[in-house]
Amino acid sequence: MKILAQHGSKAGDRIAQGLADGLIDGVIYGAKDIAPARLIEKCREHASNHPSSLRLFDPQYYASIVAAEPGVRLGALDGDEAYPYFGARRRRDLEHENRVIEDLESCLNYQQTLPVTAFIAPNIVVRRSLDSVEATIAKDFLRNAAKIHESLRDPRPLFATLAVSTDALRDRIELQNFLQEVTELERPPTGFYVLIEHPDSDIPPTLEEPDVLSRWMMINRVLSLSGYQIINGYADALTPYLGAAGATTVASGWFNTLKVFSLKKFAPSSGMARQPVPRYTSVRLLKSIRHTELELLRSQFPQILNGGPIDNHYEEDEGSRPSSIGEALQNWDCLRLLARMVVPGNPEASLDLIKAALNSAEETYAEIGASGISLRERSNNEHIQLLREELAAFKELAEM
Amino acid sequence: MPAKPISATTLSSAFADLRGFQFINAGSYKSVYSVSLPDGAQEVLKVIRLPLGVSTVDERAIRRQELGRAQREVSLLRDCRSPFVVKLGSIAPVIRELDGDDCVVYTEEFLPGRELSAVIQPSARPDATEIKRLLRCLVEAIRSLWTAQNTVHRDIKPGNIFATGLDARPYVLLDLGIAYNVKEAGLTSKPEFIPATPRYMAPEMLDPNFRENLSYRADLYAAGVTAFEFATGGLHPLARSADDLIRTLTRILHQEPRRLANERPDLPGALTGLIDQFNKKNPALRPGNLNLILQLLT
Repeated sequence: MKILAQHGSKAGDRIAQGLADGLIDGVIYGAKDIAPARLIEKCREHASNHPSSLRLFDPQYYASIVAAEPGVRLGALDGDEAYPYFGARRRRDLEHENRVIEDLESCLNYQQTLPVTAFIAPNIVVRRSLDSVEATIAKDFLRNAAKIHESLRDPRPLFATLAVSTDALRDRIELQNFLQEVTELERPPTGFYVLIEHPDSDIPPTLEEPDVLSRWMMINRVLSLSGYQIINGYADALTPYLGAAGATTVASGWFNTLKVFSLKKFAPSSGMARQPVPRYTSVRLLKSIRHTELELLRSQFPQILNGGPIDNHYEEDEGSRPSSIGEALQNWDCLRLLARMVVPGNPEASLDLIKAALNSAEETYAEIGASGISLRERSNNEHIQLLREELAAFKELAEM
Repeated sequence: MPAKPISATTLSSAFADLRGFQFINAGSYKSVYSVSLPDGAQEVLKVIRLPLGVSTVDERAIRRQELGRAQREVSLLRDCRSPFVVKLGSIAPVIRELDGDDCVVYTEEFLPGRELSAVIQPSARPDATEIKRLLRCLVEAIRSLWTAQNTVHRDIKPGNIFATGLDARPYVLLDLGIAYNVKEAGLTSKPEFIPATPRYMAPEMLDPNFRENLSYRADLYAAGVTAFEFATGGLHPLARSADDLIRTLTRILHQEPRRLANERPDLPGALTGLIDQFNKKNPALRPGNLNLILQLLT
């Protein structure tokens, strides 16, 4: 399983260091957070320094549907040096297949000029229902992507964006029918870039809302059974579960907005953002905890540390507070370790390993609780029961 | 209930240049015979009875349905290029009055060998190579019908597969009588009637609106059940031999299928896993990429 950096604002040296340390296999650049000229420069730099790295570009076309809203934050997608394929779109415009085809051509033609290793075809987010006008538009993008990609005569593979909101996942039958249709495309892409859109960019304490993870896993399962490669954007700590279901690649970044996908990242700012408290992602806990919590726990419960040189970014002398780069590297390192639970091509074996890991996490949390230490909501054991329920729901959905 | 076969005497007088009529089998409206052509070659004669009564709406509808199905079957067979689907014979469809009924009559090629249902025996345990060979032929046929003709066979089962023993086409799919073209108007006259053999019917076909999402994956299900029975000497992944129709349908909808690896632990896991995946209730869980399936079966 491959781990990619989900690029965003203030990338600094995180990606270069992650590649140099072998913690990530590549990067998905986000159009909003990098201007076209800089994108080409960084892409070339990574290609030169790490020729085997994966370099993809998320055109973030899905923002076009909210681009006309007042106060929208489009970053590099808009302005003097904007990306040539991008513009505001109304749903009624995209109901015309010709418009969809034009936008696909424009976006893929642009990507052909980039030193990326694969194309990501644009799409909109299906926000309300998989049996809706938005879903029809999304399927138009999916149906036409490979045809336009073929016309480019470019050997680089194509990943079609499949972006669905958590709301749209609610109806199980609609999801089943949608997935059936998507896996019966006459001209299929090489794979899919799967994005699950959340109502906001905060990571829920339980990691996911009920029924979301199981259905996200189901998407991976169905696509993998039909032989597709699957890149899950903004997957973060859900890496092992998506991997167990068939994901080939996951991506995660350094801010919350790069760990959870939400169109809210384009919404007007609600005021001054607080500086986030650095966190440490623990394999044993299957979750991240605040660095202050790590400081409190690490001597009494050393099993929560992942071990290895990356832990040196959390020096006890510094109150276990990492540098901003160190935090990103540690998170990627943890995802890599979590991905070891994935037995390729064997979801049942993977789920057995995950089950054992959940039991270990539960025991460790119990020991922590018995010591009288209480953890914050985002760090405590609330995720364990929900994960168990989601895995059980997935097994039922997948008829395993 | 099977149709009453037309007698050889009747057929001989109606088709004077044909010889050696031998009854093979019969379905609801169809009877099948082997015949010899004037040049000595053998073909299979298919006789489809069209209900003669046209006095009621129902009778007219059934007549239209059966005539439409016969026309569709002939048209599909004429256009199908797959060697794993039976070919039309030399006698083009004609309507003749036989034993007082209007009948559509035409021929198909005569294939050596026997029906797969006769090959499947409780003691028979084909090896992985033979099971793959069967599946490859079926998936090739399914792919051809779907990609070139937008068609779902809907009645894949051991009784509609011929084990020929020929290297180039070891298993050949027969009887497209209830095949469904997803881009053409439906032919079934009664909405409550689902044209399929319940034992091999994909679960989604029990949904009253099944035509909305029907695809080749329904045929993959039937191919999976057939392969399971072939591999196990007749054991069905769901049904029991004594089941009545309602129980069979209930099992199709609700019961978890047996796993082939438990019945044939000697077979490679990749093969048993693939067949088990064909037998999933949710069509989306059956592999959608037919080319990939064929690669896995080589």
